[in-house]
Amino acid sequence: MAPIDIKPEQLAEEVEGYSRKLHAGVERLLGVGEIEAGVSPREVVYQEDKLTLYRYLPDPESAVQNNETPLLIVYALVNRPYMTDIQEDRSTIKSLLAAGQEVYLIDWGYPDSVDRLLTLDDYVNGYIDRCVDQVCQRNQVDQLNLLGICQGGALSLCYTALHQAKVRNLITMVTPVDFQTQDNMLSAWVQHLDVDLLVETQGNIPGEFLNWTFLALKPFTLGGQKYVHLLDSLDDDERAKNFLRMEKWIFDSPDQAGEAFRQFIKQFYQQNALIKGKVDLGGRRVNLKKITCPVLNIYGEQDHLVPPRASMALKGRIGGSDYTEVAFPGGHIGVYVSGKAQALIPPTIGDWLNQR
Amino acid sequence: MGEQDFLGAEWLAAQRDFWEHWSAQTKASNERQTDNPWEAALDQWWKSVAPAAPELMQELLGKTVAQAKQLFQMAELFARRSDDDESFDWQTAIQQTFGDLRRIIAGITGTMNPVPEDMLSEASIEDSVAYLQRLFTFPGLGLGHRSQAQQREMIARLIDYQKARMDYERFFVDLGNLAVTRLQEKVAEVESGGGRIESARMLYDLWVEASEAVYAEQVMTPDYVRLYGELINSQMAVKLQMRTMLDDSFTALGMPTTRDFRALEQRAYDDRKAIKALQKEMRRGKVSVKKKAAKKRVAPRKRAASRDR
Repeated sequence: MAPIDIKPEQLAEEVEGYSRKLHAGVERLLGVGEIEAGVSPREVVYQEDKLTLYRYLPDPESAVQNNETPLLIVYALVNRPYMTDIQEDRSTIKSLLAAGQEVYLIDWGYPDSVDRLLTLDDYVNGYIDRCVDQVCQRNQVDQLNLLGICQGGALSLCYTALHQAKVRNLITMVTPVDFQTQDNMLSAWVQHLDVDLLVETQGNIPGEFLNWTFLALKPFTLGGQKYVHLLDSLDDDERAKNFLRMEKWIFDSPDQAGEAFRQFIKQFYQQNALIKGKVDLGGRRVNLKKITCPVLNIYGEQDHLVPPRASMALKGRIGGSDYTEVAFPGGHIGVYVSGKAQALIPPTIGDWLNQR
Repeated sequence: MGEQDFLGAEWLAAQRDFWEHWSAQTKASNERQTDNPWEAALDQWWKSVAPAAPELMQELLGKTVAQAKQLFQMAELFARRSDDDESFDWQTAIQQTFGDLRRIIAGITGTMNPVPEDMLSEASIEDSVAYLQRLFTFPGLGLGHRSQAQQREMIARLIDYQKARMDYERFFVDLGNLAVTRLQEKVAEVESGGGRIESARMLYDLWVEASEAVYAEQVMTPDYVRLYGELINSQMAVKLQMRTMLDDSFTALGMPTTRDFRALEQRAYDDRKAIKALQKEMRRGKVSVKKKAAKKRVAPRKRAASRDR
């Protein structure tokens, strides 16, 4: 008897069952309506070029005492920040508000050709610094808490190293620090890339290129199996909508400003300059030892984009002694959206901040 | 009943009919059927539903339908045999179904190439090289020295790109063979554990697991890193040369070129920087004025206080 024993009748049944699900699933998906990007109420407090700085409005009925030091979230330049506020019951932002934080977020927008020459210096010492000033001014404080996510975490490390006086506490989430750990697929792929030629030719780097790259990390699972399994999870409207929200986010990839991309790939990935203290931003060296404030470093144990060891490399590399690490049993995206993460991450951040 | 319901029911009925016939036939014959009505019905149904769907949905459901087709196409090969057929060679069936990983991945990602290819398809490269080579066979065509040098450079870059593409695709052929071996091992594991694979989904999931594992190992090798880099670098080299040639033509026609746009972008960037620097100065100035005003307000009060003492 062969180990593969798919009987025609069984296969026929399977195909028909799948077809029924497909038919029902399509009807459900078509009835879902508009997919919103972000769910929590917010206000625009500052705008500059493509950037928008949002303040999230606390629940007026909440009795939680707010932390007087505001929290500014710096998201990555790749993908869109509404991942942190993707749906009602899976919103890191909502949970941070519930944990008593005054939450601000930088939305980088969609760079176009006018932004092609923006450098990492413009992002870190320009945009982030001005947003920090805006938040501090609004809240009449001299310092704020900074939360950097993924690439935004690397930018936040740079910012804190260069502007320590303005940062009271730093939180890094799924943030690469050592960009050349042996298990870092993205890093391996770019080592032989002529990034100067790429940027010279493309100008800005198309979001499509980044999409392809992220899907190519696990092409069979993310590009194929996910869609085969999709129909099993479309048994109610809310689940269908949640799936679509996630799908929209995955493919909502802004183009990358060419110069900033060039610098990020060369300095961070190809030269691993962040941990070597050799990142140069507008003529200023980034030395992680200049970070003396408390640091909370959160990473995903199953993160395939930023392997745990890439994040854990921060330990012992900053100047301060108050360093805390939190390992989350999940992946790069699960760290914001999974039910487990919602129960663990924002309350941990809230407690950690409130104690400092 | 809406049009969609009608089409859906029609489609399901067509499929049911097909499978009934097909199931009966496979009992009688071991030969592969050439046409596939359930697939055609699925396509027909999808074509009728897709136009009504929003863009995001069209893309998502398009992928779902494509994956469903892939799943059942592959399972079909394993099911096309009678129960008492002892000659069925499942190892060969695996090789035939999953061997061409290049095609499968292209089906999944839409392209084998990391950077959208635009006009750089296999056929257009062949055509371009052939066209340019033919062009040089005509004496006195009027091409200037610069233009000729550019064309030659273009040919060289196209050939480099074509080679990089072939090497990259060959890597996936080898990867496909490795994935097949891994899947065969996994199937053998299932068998040695006393289990059997009885559904298309089970087989598909096992294949995904095997392929993903082999892929993760292979794309971290220095070989792949080199091939990936060379593929993108050579494609960029072609595009850049193409742009240089087009820019030259546009310049001759008095039309704006990439160089012009880049210059404008540089100017916009410099202006923006200058404006931001001015704004920063103004902010500093305002703060300084406020501080001075505050000092002035405090000073008379201090003087008055000292008088009172």
